[in-house]
Amino acid sequence: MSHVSSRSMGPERNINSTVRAGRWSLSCLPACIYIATSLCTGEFHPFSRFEMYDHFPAEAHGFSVMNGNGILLPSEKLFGLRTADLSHSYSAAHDRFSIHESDSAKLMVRIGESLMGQLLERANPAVLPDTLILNLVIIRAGAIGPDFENITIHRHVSGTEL
Amino acid sequence: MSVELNYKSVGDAYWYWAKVTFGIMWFFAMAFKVKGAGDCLYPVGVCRIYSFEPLFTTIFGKGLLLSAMAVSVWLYIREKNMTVVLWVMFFLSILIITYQESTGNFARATVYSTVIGAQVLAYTLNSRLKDFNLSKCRTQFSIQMVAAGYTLAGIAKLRASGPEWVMSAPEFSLQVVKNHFFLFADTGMVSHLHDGTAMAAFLISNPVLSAFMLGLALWLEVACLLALTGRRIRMIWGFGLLMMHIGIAYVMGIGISAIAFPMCIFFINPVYWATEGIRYVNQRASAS
Repeated sequence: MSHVSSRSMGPERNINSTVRAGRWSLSCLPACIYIATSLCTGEFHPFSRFEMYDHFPAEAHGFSVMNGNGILLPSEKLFGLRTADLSHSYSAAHDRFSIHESDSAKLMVRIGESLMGQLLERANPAVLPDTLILNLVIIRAGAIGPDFENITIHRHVSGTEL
Repeated sequence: MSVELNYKSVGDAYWYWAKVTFGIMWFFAMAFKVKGAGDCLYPVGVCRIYSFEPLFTTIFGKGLLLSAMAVSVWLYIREKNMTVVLWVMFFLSILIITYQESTGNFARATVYSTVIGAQVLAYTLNSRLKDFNLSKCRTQFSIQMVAAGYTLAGIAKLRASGPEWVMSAPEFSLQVVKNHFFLFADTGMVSHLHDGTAMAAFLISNPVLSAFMLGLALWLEVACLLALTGRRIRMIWGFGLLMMHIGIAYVMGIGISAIAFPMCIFFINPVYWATEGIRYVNQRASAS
């Protein structure tokens, strides 16, 4: 009975529906606006498309640092820099330098210099070996497990300027 | 010494503990970024306009930032001058995270800024609108920003790979090997490489399980806005997402993602439930 009578009250019904619409919009409108703006804007903090692991390419990239004898140097211990961070820097450097550099070999040289600069900036020179080799490691699916291919992207010999 | 906290409602208590936990978490997350900041090598966002290097590469600049953060968080927790304090925190958060991204390190910490932005919106609307329900909206808006982040992550996967994303176990296993290779290159311990290879082999040899786990993760992200429909579903979603983050950390050998902490605070709010539990036990003890 009360349900029927409330339906018949036109103005009150309008107010209730307005209040409900207002509540509904407050409960999801800011999120919807943020999602729409982020999709249009792309990566401009605080807007982001959150593109993490959105696709899985057929090969993955890692990094390793070696001395002149080809022995692995633990990056976090020696430089205080994780190779995962180097990987992020590699992507950022690639995006930045590829605007002005179309030659892929020259581009890789610039990226290698930039990454080595980041490593040396954090390292204690007293404990560094004479030669540092920065490798880009390409990981592919092999017949019996993953295959690792090392590509040297920068070789630093102490006493030489980057 | 006991501290008596008087809340007007359950919502206020939920907000109080979410705010305290988030404020402390934000301070330490930002302080860690300021401490480890290098040169602005690859400027993005506002750092394209000005690099802000003096703030991040000098002791005076770092001290200034840390002092501003400490004062802001103190006032935020004590709920003083909230509109002004939140604007300051919002700008600090944008500046620090953008600068860190400009050093080439993407920490995926966007949600820290958006949650504060949502709180700025709630307090600003409260000062402008009559009958605005601040008590509800300051928490609700924050939850919305966390949910929006997950939804965007789900949309990005569907846009880039389509629904087939869930069937990419062989390619996903390469990412697993890659992340374990990072650990190997960081520490020199070969065991990380063996762990990664073994995990990748397990994922490839169990395609149905892998597809189910990836599908569940995609569903939790894409449909995250459903968590806005009620407290109970938000709690269920929060535990689901927490399990997803723990699973990713275990399988991929990486740390818990930055987005997981604000999610845990606003979806689950463990400190609130811990205090409620302590209060319940104390009441039972005093009654008996």
